[in-house]
Amino acid sequence: MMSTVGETRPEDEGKGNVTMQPPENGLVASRRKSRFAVLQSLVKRKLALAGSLIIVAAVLTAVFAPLLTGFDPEQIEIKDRLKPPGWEDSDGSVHLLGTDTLGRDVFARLVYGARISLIVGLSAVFLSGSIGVLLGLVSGYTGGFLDDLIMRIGDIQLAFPFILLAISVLAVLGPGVGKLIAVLGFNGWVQYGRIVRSQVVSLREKEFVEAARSYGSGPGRIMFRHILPNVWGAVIVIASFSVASTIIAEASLSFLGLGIPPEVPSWGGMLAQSREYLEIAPYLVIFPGFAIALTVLGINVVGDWVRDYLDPHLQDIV
Amino acid sequence: MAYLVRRVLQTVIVVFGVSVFAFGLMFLTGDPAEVRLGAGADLMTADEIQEYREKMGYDRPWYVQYLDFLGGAVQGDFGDSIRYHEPAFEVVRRRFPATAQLAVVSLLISVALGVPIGVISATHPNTWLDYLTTFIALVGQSVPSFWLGIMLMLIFGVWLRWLPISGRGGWQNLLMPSFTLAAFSLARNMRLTRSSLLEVIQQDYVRTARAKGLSEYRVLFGHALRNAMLPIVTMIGLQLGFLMAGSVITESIFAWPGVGRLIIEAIYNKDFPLIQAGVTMLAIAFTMVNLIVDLLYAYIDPRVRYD
Repeated sequence: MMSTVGETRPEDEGKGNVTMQPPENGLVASRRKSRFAVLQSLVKRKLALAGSLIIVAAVLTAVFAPLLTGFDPEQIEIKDRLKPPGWEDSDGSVHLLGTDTLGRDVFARLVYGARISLIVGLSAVFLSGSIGVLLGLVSGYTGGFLDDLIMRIGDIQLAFPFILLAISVLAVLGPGVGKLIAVLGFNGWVQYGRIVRSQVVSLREKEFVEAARSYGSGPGRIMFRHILPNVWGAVIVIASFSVASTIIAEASLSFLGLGIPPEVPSWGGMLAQSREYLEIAPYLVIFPGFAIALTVLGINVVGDWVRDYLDPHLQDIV
Repeated sequence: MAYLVRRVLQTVIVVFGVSVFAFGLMFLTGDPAEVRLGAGADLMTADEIQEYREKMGYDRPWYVQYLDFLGGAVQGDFGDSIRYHEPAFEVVRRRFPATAQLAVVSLLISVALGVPIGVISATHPNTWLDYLTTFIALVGQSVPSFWLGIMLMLIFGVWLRWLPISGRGGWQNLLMPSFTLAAFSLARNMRLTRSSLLEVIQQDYVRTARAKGLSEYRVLFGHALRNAMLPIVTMIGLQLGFLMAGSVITESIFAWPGVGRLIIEAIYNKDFPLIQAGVTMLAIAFTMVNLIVDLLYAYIDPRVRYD
């Protein structure tokens, strides 16, 4: 599969693609094409490789956080507040990236913050994915009024700008990791629902479904055992991009003070708390934001590669 | 015509849904009186809370309260802002131009920069320029906008002191917030233009145009671009609405006096009439913009009507 990434297969003519191959007799001289084709697929692979390394690093950081730092990320030490990176405190332990406005070790908060970002990101995507796939299956297979209803609700939900909805709900309910996951999760189902539904509709009339029906499979069994496996590809691709956007959404909401409670280390929250100290302690702002950007970049790059690997045809819809 | 009716109907339902949502905010925890009173409720006796409830009309059945809310909202009456002591509607209305300005300028930036760069990228594929712009686009879509805003503020406002870091005023004030807001759309426009143009260039009619002996310039502008623009224009239309709604964060960072920041402040102040007014009006503006854009596209490209 990977060896053919660079070439344009005949049936792929005209497919849209971000890192697609330019045409043979087009703007690149023909004799240079083969060198560039290899170069491009190599670059893409290297990028994806780098991206996956970033993701692995983020996951390992989150899992092994206690091993990476001796400091308690929530421990407040006012006398040691706003110390620069590399500062050594009275115990002789070094604050690698300094301390924040309440004297908490920045590196510790950064490292534990990875947990929040990943947990919230993955949970919310799992939630919205589950709801979306389920509703998409039901909607596509059942058709009729239920189908209409579900899709209309989805349209209405899409028509409302998400950030306003999230802000309003969290403002009233108050901060909390669970509530945040719920808000993010219940919001994102529509994209899964639509894709799954369209796949189901196109598969519904195929012979293998008819065969399953003829030997007595109920709708549930058909949906889950026969149709669902064919729908995974698109779902996985959407999910991978969703994790990235969910991490950013969580950071944004935490930045606004809604979502993650301020004492819990989260990258967005760290940015929010350090904004006013921009001039005297810029490092407080640089590191958490960089962590978010790097993680999301890694996920996006890998998501691109996963999409191309599973089915380049998906580039049209995702 | 049927499409028009369908879309307008859908918009009406959405606006209706928005009103239900804005109204329902107070009932999220079950008791609007407690939500309104906040922490102060702990200090009050049950009788006092009940008195407050009656005074504010929260003891009426919810549908009566909703109709009351709806009736008022339709006339633009959301009650008075607790903080500003004037009609919430007025407060929001005054801030709208600032948000609109930010959104429009951001849109202009994202289009004026994004599309040409995407074109250059597509016409010089696999050069270092192409790789560079693709990478920048990738980064642009990954970086959280508020961090970008803060970084810009740090570099241009604090270290270099070239630009003011807050408030609305001359073009210097507008520069950083609009770039921050535009970043994501800019990146997306770059990628989309590139891929759309590359796809079009492969088509037969482009090959024909070249075979006819037309200059590359004519091929590009007369044929390729015109067809490549359609998905791009579609995307751009959607972006305006999102920019308006998404300005919340950018406005907060740069202390830009728009509706988004107003809503955030209202949340901190527990100024519920203002929250309801702001959210409702912003959501409706978002919906209206999308409706107009959709109808415009149905007019330009008849294929859309049969979606």
